[in-house]
Amino acid sequence: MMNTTTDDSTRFRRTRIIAWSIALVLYGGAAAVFVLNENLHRRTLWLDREEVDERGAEVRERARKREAKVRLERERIRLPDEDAKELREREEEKRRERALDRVERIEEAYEEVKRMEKHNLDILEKQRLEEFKERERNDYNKRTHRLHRTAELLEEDLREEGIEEELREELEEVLARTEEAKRAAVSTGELIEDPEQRAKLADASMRAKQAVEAMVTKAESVETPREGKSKKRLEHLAERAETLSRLADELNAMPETADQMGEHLAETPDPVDDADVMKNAARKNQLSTDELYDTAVEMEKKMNQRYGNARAAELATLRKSTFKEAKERLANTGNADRPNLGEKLRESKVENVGDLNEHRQTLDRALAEMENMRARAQNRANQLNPNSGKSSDPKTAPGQDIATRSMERKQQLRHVSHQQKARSLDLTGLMSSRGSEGGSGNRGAERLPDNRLTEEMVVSRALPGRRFTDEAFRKGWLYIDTWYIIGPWDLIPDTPQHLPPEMEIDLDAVYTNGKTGHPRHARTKERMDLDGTLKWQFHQSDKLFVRPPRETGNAIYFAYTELYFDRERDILVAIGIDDRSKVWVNDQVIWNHTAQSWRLGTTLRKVTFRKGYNTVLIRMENGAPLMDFSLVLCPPEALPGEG
Amino acid sequence: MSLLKKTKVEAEVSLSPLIDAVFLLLIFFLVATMIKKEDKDIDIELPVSTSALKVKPDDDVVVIGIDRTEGLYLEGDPTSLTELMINLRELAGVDPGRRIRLDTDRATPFHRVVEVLDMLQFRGLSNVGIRTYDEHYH
Repeated sequence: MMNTTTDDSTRFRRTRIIAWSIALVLYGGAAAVFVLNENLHRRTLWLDREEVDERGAEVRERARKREAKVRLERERIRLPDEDAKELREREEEKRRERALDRVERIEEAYEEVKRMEKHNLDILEKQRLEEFKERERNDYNKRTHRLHRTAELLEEDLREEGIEEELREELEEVLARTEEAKRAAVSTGELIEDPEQRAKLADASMRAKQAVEAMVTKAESVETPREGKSKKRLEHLAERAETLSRLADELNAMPETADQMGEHLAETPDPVDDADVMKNAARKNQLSTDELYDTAVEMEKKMNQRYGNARAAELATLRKSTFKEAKERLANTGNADRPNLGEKLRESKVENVGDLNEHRQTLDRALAEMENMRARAQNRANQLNPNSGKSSDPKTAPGQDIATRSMERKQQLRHVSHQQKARSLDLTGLMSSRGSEGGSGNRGAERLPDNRLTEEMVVSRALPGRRFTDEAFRKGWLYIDTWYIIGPWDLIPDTPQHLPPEMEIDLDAVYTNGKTGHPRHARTKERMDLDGTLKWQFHQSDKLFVRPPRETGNAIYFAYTELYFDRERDILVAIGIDDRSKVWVNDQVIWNHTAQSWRLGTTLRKVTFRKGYNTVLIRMENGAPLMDFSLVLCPPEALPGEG
Repeated sequence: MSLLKKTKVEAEVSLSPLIDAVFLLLIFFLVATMIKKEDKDIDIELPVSTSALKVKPDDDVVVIGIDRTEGLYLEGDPTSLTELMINLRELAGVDPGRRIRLDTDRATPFHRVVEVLDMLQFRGLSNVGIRTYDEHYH
C-alpha cells in the first residue's frame, strides 16, 4: 500500500515537471519569436501610424457620410406653417440687435464723413474765393489803368497828327469813362463779393466801351495820315475796352453771395441727396433685419460719394487745382458692390428645415457684410479726421491719407527722388526730425559715396525681419519678408495712373477696378481668372526675392509693410525692382526709378526711420510677366567711409 | 412598579433644519457672488490636439478669433484687419506681456492664422496661446 502511494506521488511529480518544462519551452519559444521578430510584435501590440491614419480616415468618412445623410433627411423635414413662420421670425429677431448696432455705428461714421466733407469743401471754396479776389483785384486794376493810359496816349497821338480837335468831344468822353472804370475797379477790388459793386464796374466798363466805339465810328469819317499811329492806337483801345467789358460782364454774372461765389469758383459738386437714407436711418428701430441691411448698403453708397468729395476737396486745396481736376486725379476707389441680400431675405420661403438653415446662413452673411461696412465706414471717418478714431498714434496707423501730410517736404523729396533717380542719395537731411529741429539742419539731399554694395554682400548678410532694436539679435542687413500685396491693375503705357493705394492704405478695402481676363500666371503658366476684384493679400517670403501672388505682365502692384524701430535711426535702403517703381517711407517718396532688371545695391537711399512704427509702400509697374522685388535695410557702416 | 417606571426621553436638536439652512445659505452665496463672465467665444469648431497643455483660466486674456471665412474677432466682437492692428499696437504699448488667446476654426485657412501670429509677433506680443478643443469645457 505504501509503495503504491509513493509510486503515484513520484509519477505525479514527474508529470508535473514535464508539463512545466513543456509550458516553459513553449512560452520561451513564443517569447523569443516575439522578441526577435520586430515586425510581429509591432503588428501585434502596436498599430502603425499609416494604419491608424487609414482606419481613422475610413471612420471619419463613414461618419461624414452618415452625418450628411442625417442632415439631408433632417433638412427635408417639412415644417408646419405656423412653426416655420415663428422659427423664421425668431432667427431674424436674434440677429436684429446686432444689425441695428451696425447701422447705428455706420450712421455715426457717416455723420462724421458728412461733417468732414462740408468742412473740406468750405475750406476749398474759401480758398478759391480769396484767390479769385486777389487775382481779380490785380487784374481789373491793371486792365482799367491800361485802358485809361491807352486813351491818354491816343490823345497825344491825335495831337501829334493834328486831328485832335475833330475828335475832341469823343476823346473827352472816352477819357472820362475810362477814368470812371478805373475808379470802379479800385472800389470793386475791395468789395468784389458785393453784387452792387460788380454791377457798377460792369456799367462803367460798358460805358467806356460805348464811348470807345463812338469814337471809332467818328474816327472812320476823319481823314488820318497814312500809317498814322492814332489808328493803331484806336484799334488797340477798342480791343482793350471790349475785353474789359466782357470780363466785367462775366464778373457781374457771378452768383450773388460769397458762399455761392466760392462754390461756383471751386466747381464743387451738388449736395449728395441722402434724404431717403436718413429717413430710414431715423426710424431704424422699426426696421426689420432685411430693411436694416438695405439701409446700411444705401448709407455706404452715400458715404462713398461724400468721402470722394471730401478727399477731392482736400487734394484740390493742397494742389490749388479745381475740384473736378482733383476728382479726376483721385483714383476711382472701385468700391465693391454689396450683394442684394435684403431682397433675398424678403423673398426666401421657409417650408422645411433646409430652407430655415439657408435663411439663417443668408442672415449671417448679411451681418458679416454689415460688419464689413461698419469697419470701412469707421476707417474712412478716421482717414478724414484721425482724431475721430481711437488710434493713439494716427500718424502711423494704417488707413492714413498719404496725399495730405507735410506737403512741402514731401514735394522736395519727390523732386529729389525724381531728379536723382540713378544716384545713391542721403535723404536724412530731408527726413530727420532732428534736422527740422535744427540739429543737423534741413540740409537737403546729398550724394552718397560711389562705393556700392555688391549683390553678393547683401544677399549673404541679409536676414528676414521687420524690427530694429538695440537688443535684437539681428541688428542690420534685414530683408523685409512680410508684405501686404495688392494687384494686378492694368498698366496703360504712357498714361499717368493714380490708383487707390497711393491715396489711402485700407487693408480691408475691396477694389473692383483691377485687371480682368484670363492672363497666364508668369511662373506656372496656368490661366488665371481675374474678375477685377482686388484685396490686400498677406504675403511672406522665405527668400530675398518677393513675388506678387498673381504675377502677370503689363500690371501694376502695390506692396505695403510696417517696420519697427526702437529709436530714430538712419538706415541705408537697397531696393531691387525691375521696371518702374516708386517707394514711400512714412508717406514720403524716397525712390522713383526705372530699371531694366532686378539689381540690388547699385542705387542706395539713406533714410531716416522714426522711433516706433514706420510705413513702407511700394508701387511696381511691370511690363514683362516675371517680376521680383526686394527691399533690404543695411546698417550705415556697410558703406565704406561711413561710421 | 414596572408600570409606573417612566421611560426617560432625552431631548435632542434635529440637524435637518440646520443642514437645510446651511445649504440654502450656500446656494444663496453662490448665486449672489457669481459674476457673469463676458462671453468671448465665437461660433467655431476648435481644432483637436492630444498634446495641448491645460492652462489656468485667465479673465484678462485677450481673445482673438478667426472663423472659417477668415473673419476676425476681438474679444468676441467682429473686427477688421485695420482695427485689429490698431488695437494690438495700443495693447503692445501698454501691456506687451498680456496673455493672448487665438481661437480658430479647424477649417480656418492656415495663412490667415500665420498672418495674425505674425501681426502679434511684430508688435512684440509674444504671450500667445492657441485654443484647442477641450471635452470638459464643451
